[in-house]
Amino acid sequence: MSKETTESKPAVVDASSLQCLAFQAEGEVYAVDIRNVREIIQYAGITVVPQMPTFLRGVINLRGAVVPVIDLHARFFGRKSPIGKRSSVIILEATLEDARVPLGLFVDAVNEVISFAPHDIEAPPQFGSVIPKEFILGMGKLGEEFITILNPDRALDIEELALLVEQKH
Amino acid sequence: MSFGAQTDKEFIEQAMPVFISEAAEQIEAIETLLLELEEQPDNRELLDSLFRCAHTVKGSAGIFGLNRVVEFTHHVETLLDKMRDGDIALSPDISTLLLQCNDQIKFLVETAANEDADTAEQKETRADLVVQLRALTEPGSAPAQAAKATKPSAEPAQTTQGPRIWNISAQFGLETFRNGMDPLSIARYLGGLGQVISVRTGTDTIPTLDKLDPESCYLSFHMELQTEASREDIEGAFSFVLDDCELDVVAPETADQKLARAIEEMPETPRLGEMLVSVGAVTQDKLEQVLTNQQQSRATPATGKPKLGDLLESQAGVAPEVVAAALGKQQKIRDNAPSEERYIRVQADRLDAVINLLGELVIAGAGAMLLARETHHESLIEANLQMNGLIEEIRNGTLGLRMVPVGETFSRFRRVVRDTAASLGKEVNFEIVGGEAELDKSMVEKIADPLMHLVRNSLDHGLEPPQERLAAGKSRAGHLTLSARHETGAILIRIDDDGRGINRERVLQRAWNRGLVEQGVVPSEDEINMLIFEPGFSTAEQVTNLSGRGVGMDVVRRNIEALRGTIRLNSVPGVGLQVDIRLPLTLAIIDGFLVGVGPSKFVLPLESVVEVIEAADQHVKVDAVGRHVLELRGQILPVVRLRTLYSIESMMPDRVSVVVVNSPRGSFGIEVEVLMGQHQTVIKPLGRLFQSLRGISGSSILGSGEVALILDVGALGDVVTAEQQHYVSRATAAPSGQAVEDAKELARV
Repeated sequence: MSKETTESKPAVVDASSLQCLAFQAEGEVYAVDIRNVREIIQYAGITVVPQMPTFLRGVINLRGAVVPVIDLHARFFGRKSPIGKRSSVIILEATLEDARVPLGLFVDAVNEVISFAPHDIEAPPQFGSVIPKEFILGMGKLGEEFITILNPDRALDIEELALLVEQKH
Repeated sequence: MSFGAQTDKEFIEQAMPVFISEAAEQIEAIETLLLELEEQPDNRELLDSLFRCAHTVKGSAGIFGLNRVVEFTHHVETLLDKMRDGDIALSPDISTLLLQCNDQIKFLVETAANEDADTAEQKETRADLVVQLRALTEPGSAPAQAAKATKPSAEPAQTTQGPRIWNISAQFGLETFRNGMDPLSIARYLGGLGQVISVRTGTDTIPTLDKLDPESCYLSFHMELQTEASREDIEGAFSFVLDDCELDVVAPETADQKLARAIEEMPETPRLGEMLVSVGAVTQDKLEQVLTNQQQSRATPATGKPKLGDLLESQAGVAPEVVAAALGKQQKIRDNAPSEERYIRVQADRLDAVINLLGELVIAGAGAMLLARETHHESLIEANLQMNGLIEEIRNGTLGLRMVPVGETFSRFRRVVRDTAASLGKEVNFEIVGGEAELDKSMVEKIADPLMHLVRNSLDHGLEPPQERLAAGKSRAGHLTLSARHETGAILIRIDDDGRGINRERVLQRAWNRGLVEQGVVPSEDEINMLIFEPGFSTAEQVTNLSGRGVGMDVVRRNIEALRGTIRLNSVPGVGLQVDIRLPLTLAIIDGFLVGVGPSKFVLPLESVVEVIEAADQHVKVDAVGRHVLELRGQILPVVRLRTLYSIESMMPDRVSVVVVNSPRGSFGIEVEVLMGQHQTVIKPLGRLFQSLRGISGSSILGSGEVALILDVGALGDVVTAEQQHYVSRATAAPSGQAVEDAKELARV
């Protein structure tokens, strides 16, 4: 019986607390569920694809696979993020027609992994947020600060992005 | 064939998939043959092959104990047999019935492993078909006769007293067919002289398919003829072919001699026991008994393994000379074995895995070459060159493995055309040309649906009903031709019909109504034609059951473009429509020409590159998308400057080059800044995000790890020749809608 309690307690904590990878894009700190992250690579050049909207920075070679890279800041604010020393590409797994495809996220810097307890996560604000509400999974409380936890399935929906690209033409 | 129950089961389990795939081929052949037979009802050979196919399916299904297939196919076979005998002539109704039966056979074979899949509905259909078949074959029902026919034909070598039995062997000369002779008619004539006890066609001399000349005769036959006719009479049958025919007419001989000869002449039967059984030297029961004995004596190690031949001689009383002949034949088969095994069935995904690895090898090879060049080490470069040469050979060989003739896909359309035309009340002569042109297997699969749609479209919207055709002074039946041929590194598939062609006025009206083209604007004829590929476009006045399949012409175009192909229409109103589809031969790897513009690198398909010239003046004025013209040997050459078209921002170099390329729209130049030479490249698709991108067909990873973009010369050609500008570069498009309009204006000037 005592065994039951000791076993179930950490399990509850593990299941409810959300492990997030925090990163910076144009000064703002965002986070994504770590389960969506496949790997992080250092920025080492990108192949620009012509006639693409600003948020589509180009493609990179990920061990033989050609992976598109999205500029998060340009996606939300239409401005291209500058390339700096700590610029990185977070490789996420996006869903496309039931298949998992890799998608790069261009960020200024990758910070750390943060664990949010359930009571530290609040619903996205009804108004006042600069990025659309449906792109936000919740607001993670870290000390006095709030960090935007993104919903990558919505914010980086490949079909939707592809539509944006098509409109460009 | 095996002898124990255990081995039987194993054998069936192993061989079942092979049976299903082979039966599927036969069934496909039946369909093709039936359709061909409809056009040439008197063609005896077609009928014979048809019968053979049905018989093969029935026979092999029998081996596997698939009684449902055997029973049903048997009825079909009976009808075919009657047709061969000339009792029943092929009519459109019979043909339709047979096609329906074939569908059922197909269903039965596909569900061979799973009896539950056979629904009551299917059973009913089948029963109905059987009734129809029987109504044709047996005016008065005669089940006994049917049962008899399922039994295998009587064993040969059943010698009887009376008239003499002649043994006739004839190997026909290669020229027989070309001389207008037919071995079959000779055989039939001989049949008239007396009673044919057995006939066997010798196929041993038929060469492999690549060496086979369809007009040459490779056949021989061996016949046992029981007749009172003299040698002269028999030889007389061959008098027209005697010049180049090896004829051997042997008078009655001793039974053992005859058996030995029969074995000698047998095609390939690898097992000693089987050979002897099949010529009747020993019965199946006796053989099994001897085999059991052999098995038992093998268990006692001291005596060693007794030879089957010896046992047969001592225990079954087979004459030594018969056994010797059988053993000799066996040895001969073993000697021939390596050259006989010409085909290996390989799982497609295994082949794909090899090709994927090969792609990596090509990239790695290019990387190694790059490093070697940097060292300036002569012998290292030499070694790498040699290795890259070998990689290229492996690449060509491996990709060749995937190539299949496109005709297999084409012939599937025969049925579609037939049924579609029938349901539309139209008449059509469908012709396939150049089916032997080869294309990558995966391409063939992907092109089938778009092609099917285009063919249906031609039938549905293009070809007119018979009355309308006659009124227009055309032949009653429409013509539809599907052809394929190779054309400079690509394959051209053409669908040609002599129907109405595209009604441009109606297309334009529809486009105006749907807002695809601004009211009152009249694009060029070509552009109007291409409007039918726009999403949501359909001019059919009434929706037939052929339309509304969820595949529109826009999907057809998208599918073809996804294969790096292009589609062009050539329509003459009232005369016909020609749809040209150009496809690359393979999806995986291309020979490329690597060029650079600023920091970007692009790959041009090498087969489209004609020459490279140095541009005299790079300060020439260009329009919004970078177009200008050059004079090349007295001709005006349109040129597109990639730097401007793709808004690449970097220092302008002192010198630029123009790569002259060939596109379906004619020659044009692409202005680039750095030439990096030939580059063998693996095509990596860019994915969904870039699907709407025109002018770039994919990407490729260079030896250095960089990603280069592969230019789509055809689409660039469209940019160069386009009057109305859809390809506005980012720099001009970004500021405002007005700027875009201005840029378009500018582009038009």
